[in-house]
Amino acid sequence: MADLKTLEMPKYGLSMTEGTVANWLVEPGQSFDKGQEVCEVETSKITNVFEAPFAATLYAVIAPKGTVLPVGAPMAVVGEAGATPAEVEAFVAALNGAKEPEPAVAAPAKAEAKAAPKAAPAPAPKAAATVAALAKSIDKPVAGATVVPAALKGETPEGVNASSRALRLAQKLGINLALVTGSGAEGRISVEDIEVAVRAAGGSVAAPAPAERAKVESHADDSAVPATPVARRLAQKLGVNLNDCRATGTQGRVCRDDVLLAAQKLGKLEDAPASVAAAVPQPAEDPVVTPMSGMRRAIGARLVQSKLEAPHFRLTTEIDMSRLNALRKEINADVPGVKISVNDLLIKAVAAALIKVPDVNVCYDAEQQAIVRYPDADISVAVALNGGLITPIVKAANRKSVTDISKEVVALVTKAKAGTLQPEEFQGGSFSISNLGMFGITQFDAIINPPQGAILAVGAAIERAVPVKGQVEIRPILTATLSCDHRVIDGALGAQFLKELKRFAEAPNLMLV
Amino acid sequence: MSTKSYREAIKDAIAQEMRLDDTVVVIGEDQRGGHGGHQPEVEALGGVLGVTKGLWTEFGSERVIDTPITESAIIGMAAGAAATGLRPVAELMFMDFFGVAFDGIYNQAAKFRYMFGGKAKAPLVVRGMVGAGFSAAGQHSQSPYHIFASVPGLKVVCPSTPYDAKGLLIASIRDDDPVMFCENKILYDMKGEVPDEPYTIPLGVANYTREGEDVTIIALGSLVHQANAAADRLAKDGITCDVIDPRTISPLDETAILESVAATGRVVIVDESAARCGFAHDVAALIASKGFDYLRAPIELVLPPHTPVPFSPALEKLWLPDAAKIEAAARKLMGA
Repeated sequence: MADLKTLEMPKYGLSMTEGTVANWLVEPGQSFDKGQEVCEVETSKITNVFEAPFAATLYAVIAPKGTVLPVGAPMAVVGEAGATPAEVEAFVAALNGAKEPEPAVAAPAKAEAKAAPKAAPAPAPKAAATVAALAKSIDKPVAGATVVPAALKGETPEGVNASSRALRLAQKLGINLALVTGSGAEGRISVEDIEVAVRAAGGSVAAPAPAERAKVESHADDSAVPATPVARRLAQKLGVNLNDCRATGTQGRVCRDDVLLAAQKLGKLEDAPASVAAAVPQPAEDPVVTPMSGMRRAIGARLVQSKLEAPHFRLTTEIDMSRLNALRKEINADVPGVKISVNDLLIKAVAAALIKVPDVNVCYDAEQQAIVRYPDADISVAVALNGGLITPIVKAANRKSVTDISKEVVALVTKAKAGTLQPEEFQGGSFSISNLGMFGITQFDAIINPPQGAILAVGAAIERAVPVKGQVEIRPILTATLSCDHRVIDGALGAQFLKELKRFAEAPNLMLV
Repeated sequence: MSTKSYREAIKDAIAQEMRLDDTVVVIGEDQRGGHGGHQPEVEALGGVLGVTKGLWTEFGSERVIDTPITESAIIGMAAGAAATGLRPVAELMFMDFFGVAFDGIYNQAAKFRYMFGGKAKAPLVVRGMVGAGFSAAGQHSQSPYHIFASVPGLKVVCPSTPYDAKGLLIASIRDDDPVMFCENKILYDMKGEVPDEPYTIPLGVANYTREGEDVTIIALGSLVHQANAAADRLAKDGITCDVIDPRTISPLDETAILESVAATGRVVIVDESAARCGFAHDVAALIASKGFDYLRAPIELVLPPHTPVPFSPALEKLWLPDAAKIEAAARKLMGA
């Protein structure tokens, strides 16, 4: 008879209580050497390769890929070469019997139970079924259940030194206390010692049920408790002792709302008059809690970094958009199949201004403590997505025609919304534009997209009365705010850029020459 | 195993230890005197309540030392004898008298081992009566064990049954630290099964006298029996209680207390030592600091009022915690 053993879920860190079998690297029937990689185990923190503690042959996988097991639970049956399928089956059956769960143990999730027989490869079909059953029985227990490992089962012999509570717990769980080490005076076993032993043997211990808040009422004289007259009268009417009320009123007095809240907590509102009950502020629906998506976390991390590290300063200018708007209309009218937007023209104007003032077209290299200046204006355009935003890049916008820019922006935005942007399409860029004009925002300032040196926040073009050559005229005025990283761009430089941008936007023909 | 009174169990313990160990000596008032002083043929009184009656006859004046009414001399002699190698069992008669002898206990014996770097020790036992309910008035009815327990270096024992009294006293005599052994005077005639052979109960291990799931009642000495009675009455209404008798206040079996509180979440602490800064407050602080999350309701303390113990039997009865008060406190916690 070949000697059979189990491979058990390893414990990689102090905080590890369970692990997922991520992948099997050895097939059933294969032999492996000591130190050979047998399977991958995923914890909440890392994925580790499980190395064989000894050389053996893998006979049966108890925990197929994806199974969550508590630390110490068997993952597979292994042994020296020559074990027959019958032997393996008998061994697994023995394990299975030992693992017969307590009545208190919750049944494994149904989906997992269904998946297990399919996923469990084993040398013999009969053994496979048993293995699957075992996999089922040791599948992740429902949180809060107590699972006592077979190793600790048994009856406590007379004379074991244990606390009264520990004895009762052992009896309830069917634990043999002779197998538990006591940590108390003269080796006395406490409830905690039992819990430690159960966990050490691979079982789990139910968390104690949280104590329910008792409704405790005061009966002490409350005549000296400071309270408003209304509160005192209401308390008397509802039978609430003022000692049970918080005092949130002026001068530390209990006020009407305090009495109502206390009455609600003590369940005294049921038979209160409807008018009184209606006045109690009802808690609103529970807030919806959504875990942060990867994108939200990335946005958070990058922008916090930017706000913390980059000393922002902001410059604002107003741009008369009359001529740019006119140009847009002309192009859209004259060129068939083209529908350029104000934004496309602004990208072009920004690109032209960046080439004119190249020292704004920079990134900050923290590692080298250097300023990186780019030959082309690679402009990142902020695109709002469901639950986030992304900044695809119009590369070398200075060398592209407005129609090319327009087509590229449409393509990038489509890809961004479909989630099919390639990394090189949104990583990099030398300057960013964020436009909220379409929402009617007249002015705002943006956080720099690190490591870029600046970002332009574009508001809506609003018709305003402006003096033109001594006359008041109505002109569409757009407010643009440039946020600069003062480490790489100074105030005069940023101002110079905005001046050029204003010049190009107000006289777009300059972009052609 | 035979049925013995609490008084007999204590004498049994001392006598057996004296037979086993020559260094064990008894020091106290009226150990020999009372019935005529120097008349060996006359049975000695054996202390004011006759607890040590018979010891002088068996062991003689060398080992059963009669003293005048001078507590500071009794304790001073015992502490010195302990430091020089004997194991004295000194009797203070009423623990209320600790006031005149406390220097020897708390500033000397309790400090020896620590201040002499372990080179000296004081293996002495100070026996004395505590407890109200005997109509002994304000100066002979107190339970100052909470004061002893606040002194590091002293161990404090409060047995509630004949069985515990014998086992704990033998453990106390064999202990190398000074032990304040507080005998509840109204228990002296309580009978119980006591093994004939010597045995010890380790100091610092609590006893559960009732087991239940709803309320934890913690009591010492004679109040353990009141707590048991309350628990039995509550059990008839389906409210089951853990009744914990810590048996020793110092060291205190914190585990036993916290484990029970963890299961019940409701605590009644009964005590007669003090209405302020007493044993109950110490245990309540333990539970509040280490077991706060277990609590389902505020900790209930059943204590006497902050007054001296009255002489009038009617008032004394009113003053003392009893089963009815404990039961009411437990019912309050259960909201019933």
